[in-house]
Amino acid sequence: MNHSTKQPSACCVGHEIVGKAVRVGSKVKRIRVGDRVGVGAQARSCLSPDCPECSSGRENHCLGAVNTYGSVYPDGEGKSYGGYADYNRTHNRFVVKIPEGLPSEAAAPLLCGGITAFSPLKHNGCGPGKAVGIVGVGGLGHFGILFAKALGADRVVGISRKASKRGDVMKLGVDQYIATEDEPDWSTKNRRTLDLIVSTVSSAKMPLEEYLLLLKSGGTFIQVGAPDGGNLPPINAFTLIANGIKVGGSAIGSPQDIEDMLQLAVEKDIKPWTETRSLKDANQVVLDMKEGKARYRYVLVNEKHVNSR
Amino acid sequence: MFQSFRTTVKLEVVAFATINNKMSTDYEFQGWLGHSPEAVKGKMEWGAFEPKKWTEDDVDIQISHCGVCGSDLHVLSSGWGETPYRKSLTAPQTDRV
Repeated sequence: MNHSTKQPSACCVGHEIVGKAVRVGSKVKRIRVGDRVGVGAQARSCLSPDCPECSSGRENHCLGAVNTYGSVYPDGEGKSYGGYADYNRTHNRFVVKIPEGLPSEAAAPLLCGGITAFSPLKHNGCGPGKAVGIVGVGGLGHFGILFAKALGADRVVGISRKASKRGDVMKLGVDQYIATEDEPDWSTKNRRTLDLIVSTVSSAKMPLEEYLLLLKSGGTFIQVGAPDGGNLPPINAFTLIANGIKVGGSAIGSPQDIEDMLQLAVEKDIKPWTETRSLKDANQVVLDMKEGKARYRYVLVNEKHVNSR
Repeated sequence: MFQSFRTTVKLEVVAFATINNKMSTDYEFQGWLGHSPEAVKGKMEWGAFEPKKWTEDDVDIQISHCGVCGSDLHVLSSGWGETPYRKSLTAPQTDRV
C-alpha cells in the first residue's frame, strides 16, 4: 500500500457507513466476507470484561470509547478514519450486519442519526400508552418521529420553531405539531401532555423551561442535541421539584441497540427521508448540508462500489 | 458421510483464507481528507490514508454508502488537534430546528 500522500494531521469524516465486508479477521465469528455491513459513530470501546458499560450492553457510554473518525486507538494501533472513503477498517464488535430488506441508502443514516433518536426512545419507555414529543425536526428529529411511531406510542408530537414546517412534519406521521415561535402560549396550552420528550435541538437559546412544562408529572426529558460548549439554558429547581420530572441525556446507542433498530426498521418498513448524492461531490454536499438544505439526510453513494456486490 | 462433510468444511476454510490474503493486497484506503478548518468550506481533498493496524478482530469494508451527519461538519470546521472532540463520543449533533 502506498501512503506517500498521507498527511498525518488529516481527518476523513463520515460515520454512517454501509458496504461489503472484504476482509474478515480470523477471530471474527459473526461476519463473513461478502456480508453487507455497517459502522456507526463508534469504532471501539475498552471491551474489558470488568467494564460496567461494556459488560452490560452500554458500550456507547464506555470511558474507553473510540470514535469512528478523528480518534486515536490505544496501544499504537493508529488513527480512525471515517466513511467519505473507499474503505473502512473497524473492530467487528462495532460492525453490524444490515438486514435483508433494508436498502443501503436507508440503512446508512440510521447508524448515527437514527440510533441517536431511537436509543433514548427505547430506553425510556416509548410504546403503547405513551405520548411522546420530539423537539427539533431536522435529521435527528425526523428519525425520532418515525421511531416513536414505529415503537407504538399512542401520540407523537413534533415540536419545532416555525409553522412553515407543519406540512413536512405532519407527513412524517405526527398526531400534533407545535410551532414554538408562531404559536403564542404553546407551552401553557399543551401543559402536562407528554410522558417523554427527546430533544434533538442544539441551540443554547432553546426554550428549555417551556419544553419541561409539557411533561406530565413523572415524565422524562432526554437531551441528545449538543450545543456548542455544551451549555444549556438554566433549569429552575422548582420546575423539577413541582412537576416531579427527570432530565437526562443519551449518546448514540450500543451495537445491540443498533441491531434492534435495524430490525424494527425492516419490520415497520421505516423509510428515512434521504437524498442520495455522489461521493465525488462530497465537497458540495458538505456545503449544502451546512446551509441546511438537507431534507432530512444526505447519503453519499460510492458508485464504483454499489454494483460490485 | 461425516468424513466428507469435514473435507468440505476444510476446503471452505482454505478458500476463505485465499480470498482474505488476496483481498489484503488489492485495495487501497483513500478518501476525502480535511487538512484544516477550511475543509468544511468545500476544500476536502481526495487522498490516501493509513488505516488502523490490522488485527484479527477487524473487518475491512468496501464502502458503498455513507450518510452525512451534522457532526461531520463540526469536526471538519474545528482545528485538527490530536483527537478532535475527545470529550464527546459522537461529536456534537448540530441539527437545525
